[in-house]
Amino acid sequence: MSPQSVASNRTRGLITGVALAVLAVVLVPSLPGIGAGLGLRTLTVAVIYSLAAASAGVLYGRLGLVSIMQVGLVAVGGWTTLRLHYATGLPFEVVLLLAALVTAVVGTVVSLPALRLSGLSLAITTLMIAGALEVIVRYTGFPNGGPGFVGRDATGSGSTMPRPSLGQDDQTYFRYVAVVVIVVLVLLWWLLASRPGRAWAAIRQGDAGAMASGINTTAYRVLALAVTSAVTGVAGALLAANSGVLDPVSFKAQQSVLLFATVLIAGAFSLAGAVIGGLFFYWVPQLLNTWGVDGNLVFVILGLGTVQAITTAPHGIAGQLENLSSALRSRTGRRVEES
Amino acid sequence: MNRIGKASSALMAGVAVLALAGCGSAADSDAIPGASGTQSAADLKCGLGNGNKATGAPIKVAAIATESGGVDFSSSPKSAKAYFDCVNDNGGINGRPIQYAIGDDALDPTKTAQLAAGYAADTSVVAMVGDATFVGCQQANSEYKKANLYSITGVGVPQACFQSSNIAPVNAGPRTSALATLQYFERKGEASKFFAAGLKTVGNGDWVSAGINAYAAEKGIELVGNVLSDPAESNWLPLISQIASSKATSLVIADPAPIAASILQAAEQQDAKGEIRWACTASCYDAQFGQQIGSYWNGFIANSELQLVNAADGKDLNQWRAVMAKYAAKGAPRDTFSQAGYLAGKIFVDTLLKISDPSTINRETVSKALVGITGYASDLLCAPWYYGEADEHHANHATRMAQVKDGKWVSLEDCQDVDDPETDNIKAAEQSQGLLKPSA
Amino acid sequence: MNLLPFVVAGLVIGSVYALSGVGVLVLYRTTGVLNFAHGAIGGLAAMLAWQFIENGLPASAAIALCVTIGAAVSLVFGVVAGPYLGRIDELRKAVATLGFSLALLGLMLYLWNDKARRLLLPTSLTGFSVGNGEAHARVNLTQLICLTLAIVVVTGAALALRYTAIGTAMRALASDRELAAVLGTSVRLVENAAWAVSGAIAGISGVLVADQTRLEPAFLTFLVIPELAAVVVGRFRSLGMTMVAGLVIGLVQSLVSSQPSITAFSTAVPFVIATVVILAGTRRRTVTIGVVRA
Repeated sequence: MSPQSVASNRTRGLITGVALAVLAVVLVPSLPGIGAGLGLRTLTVAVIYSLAAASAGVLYGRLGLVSIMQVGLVAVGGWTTLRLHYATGLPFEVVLLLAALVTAVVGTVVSLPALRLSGLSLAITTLMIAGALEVIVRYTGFPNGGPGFVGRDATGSGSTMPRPSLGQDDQTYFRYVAVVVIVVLVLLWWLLASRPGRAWAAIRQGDAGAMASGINTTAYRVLALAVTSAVTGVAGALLAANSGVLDPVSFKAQQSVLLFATVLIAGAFSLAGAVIGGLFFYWVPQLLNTWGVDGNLVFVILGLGTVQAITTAPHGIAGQLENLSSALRSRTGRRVEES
Repeated sequence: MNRIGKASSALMAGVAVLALAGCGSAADSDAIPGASGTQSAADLKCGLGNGNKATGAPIKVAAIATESGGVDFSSSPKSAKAYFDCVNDNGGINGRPIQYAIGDDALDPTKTAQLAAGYAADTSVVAMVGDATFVGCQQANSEYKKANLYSITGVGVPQACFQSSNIAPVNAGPRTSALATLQYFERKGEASKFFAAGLKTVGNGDWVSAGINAYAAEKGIELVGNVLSDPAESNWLPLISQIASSKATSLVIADPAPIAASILQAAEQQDAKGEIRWACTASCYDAQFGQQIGSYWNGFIANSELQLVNAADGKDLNQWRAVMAKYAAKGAPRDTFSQAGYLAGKIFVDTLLKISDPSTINRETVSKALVGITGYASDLLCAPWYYGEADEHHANHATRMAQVKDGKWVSLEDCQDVDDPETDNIKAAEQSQGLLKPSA
Repeated sequence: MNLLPFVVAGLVIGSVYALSGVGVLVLYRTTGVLNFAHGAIGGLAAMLAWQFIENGLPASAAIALCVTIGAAVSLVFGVVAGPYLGRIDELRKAVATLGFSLALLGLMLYLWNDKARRLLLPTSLTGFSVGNGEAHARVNLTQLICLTLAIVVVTGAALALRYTAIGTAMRALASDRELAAVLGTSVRLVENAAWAVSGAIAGISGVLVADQTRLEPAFLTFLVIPELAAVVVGRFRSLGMTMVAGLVIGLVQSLVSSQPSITAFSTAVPFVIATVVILAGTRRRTVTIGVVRA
């Protein structure tokens, strides 16, 4: 395939993805069964976590960096959002951007030490960081309008952060979340398709080669960490606004491991995989639970799914779907060009 | 499924079989150790007690409980379910059966909020009964409030579960339980130097420890230690050496049972029991705990938030045992949480039976009836339970004490009201609003 | 303040970290798999040991059985997943074991409820005092076993790698897999042996650490973090360094926790030590060229 056709294939993928997403945004809240209550709330959180999944996916799929601390960074984003909301009272959209910025700084700084190392050290270090973040949020708790830097009112009369004015009820908040997630994913896509994306791809092939072709590997790695951490911070902000309060129990190191596992099952090499990863992380367990599968056995299923994905289907479900769609295309003879 | 998938499931199946083989003859949890009550057929006359199966339009009721994720509080909704099954076999709610759904929040408050939003959005769900969640009361309450839905919670643990407008727990909670233990030692003249150990958890451990501080300051009790440990702590030596060097006369451990057991094991290895009177909050009042800690800890004390599971006859106690024997799964625990779930169910059924026309039962009428509950007496409780319209609900503030004798729990002291500076308002409201007297 | 009990406890926990670290290292050097499921395998062995003892098995038999089960679980995973793992890079091998540890954790939480349980080995009740007066500590037999076992296993492993046929084969695999295969080493056999040995070490460490700390599935599963920190300090190579690192991490953790003002941060000690070592290590190398076996 010529480079142009690859690019046009990519663009086509983007357009299809965005179109499908917009369709889902319009249709889902009006569907019976999942358009309200538990179904819709679960989907909202799943869509939010697809951002965290995307950031883990980009790091692993594009740079070969294993980061097992994304849920910890979601907590950082959520904490910052609540803190800034009570401190400044700025509109949610502004708070969200600031939270993304703070998370980008935190995420980059904590993983900086392991940056120049082989993937294994980074994997171990980020798992340890996930553990450390778990301890920290357990100590501070999440702000609920109380006094001091920690901002937590321990008397039990704490308040909750209101949802953004554009997404007050469950239906509109789902649409709000979906729009934000689509925008962030499109931005990520654009980044991956332009110069940074190419530099990252070169780094994945090998440091020596990348350096030989004049790429500042350290700078691009830092950029990747900052971007993906910011994306995760957005997820934290959206999660904080969802119910207005957060609880440290939601952000255990175990959850970070689980998220990484679902990213691998869903496919780390495409952004569609990220969306599927979010669904696997949050929606599928709920679904299995509704069908009567014990919550602990869901862990077993996801764990074994990871082993299977890693060993035999490195491109995950998203990869298999892509193969399927191109197979369908060639069968119906709607190929745009011969290659 | 491909080869590796098959093979790994075969491996897991093998491990499961192995482990299950090990579990096969585990301690029979359906037998209540030392239970002394008598049972009769009359115990199974739940609700109307007419022996007819209820066949009308079902009344939907739900519960949110933490079942997976490392903590299992499902014994509360499980016993509520057993009781509802018994009620449905005995005429239901004036002919209408109760249809009960249990949601597992997997120890994730985000999930609690989702489940709460889900049940709140389904207006055919008339009430929440027998909930038992370790997390997320605050999140759940904001959903219930918006939807005019009320919960008779079986077991509430963190602070928020007791400070919510639409949630009223049947149990007493860890703070009351810790204070009850302190006040027991105070009555016995053993609290001249008191030590409290708990977990550093926001909205839970800190709340308990603040209660101990406030009460000790008020009564001039010398607090020689009020230590909060990290929940992931692996080394209990610092705590044990602090206890030993504090010269405490008595102490309470306000931790979940597995952690309390590991602290006791470390203390036993150091032979650090000393002359201190060791005790634990109600989380340790559990048959397996008593049997696990071993003979070194004979005389170990715990608080119990409801009647002891193996106490002699009591109308509700006997009915709970009978219902569990007939309707619950063989392995379902027979513990305090199970009593709490049963009691939540019974309060709910007795309240609904007062609505004379069952066809008018909907969320609005049920919510009105629940909020109107006053003076509900039961031999499982120490004092009448009530709901009432308030921003905090903490009706159960009188508890019992038990101690371990040869691996089994026996009664140490019967009902005592617990003094907590934080519940002064609640107790004043009980009197001024007549909440302890049954409504007409 | 009497620090002696903390030194004893720190060395004991440290020796279990060292023991586990050596188990992880043997497997990593032979197969290239950094096993994140090491803690979970130990957890499973400890939970099963508790169950067997509850059901009336004598402690020694229960432990022997559980060490065997630890070896078996690890071996079966190695046999089933090994051929596939052999074809992918180290990072993905490690991540696959992460999935395995999740599955084992879920299984443990499913099989055992959250009630209190403890694994008290008979040897923990026999003890003696060391030191005198204010500065004394109680040492029990299990603690001595932990320390001795760590030393014996590390020395044994070092000797076995050097002087036995299978040890030589393991070293051959570690340095060049393809070459070793060409030269007639039975790769599968050697790898399976490593899986079994490391599983057995995981099993015994799990039982010991559950006796010394807590018997809870999630806690035991995540003990893999300090264990891996020891391996990191040993630079994924040295048995001796891993052993020393394990002991130091345990000791520092315990001493930190003895000071009330910083006791809260004791769980961060493995992380800090590993990070410092990683940082110190990278200064010497400017370019890392990863060898990826695709």
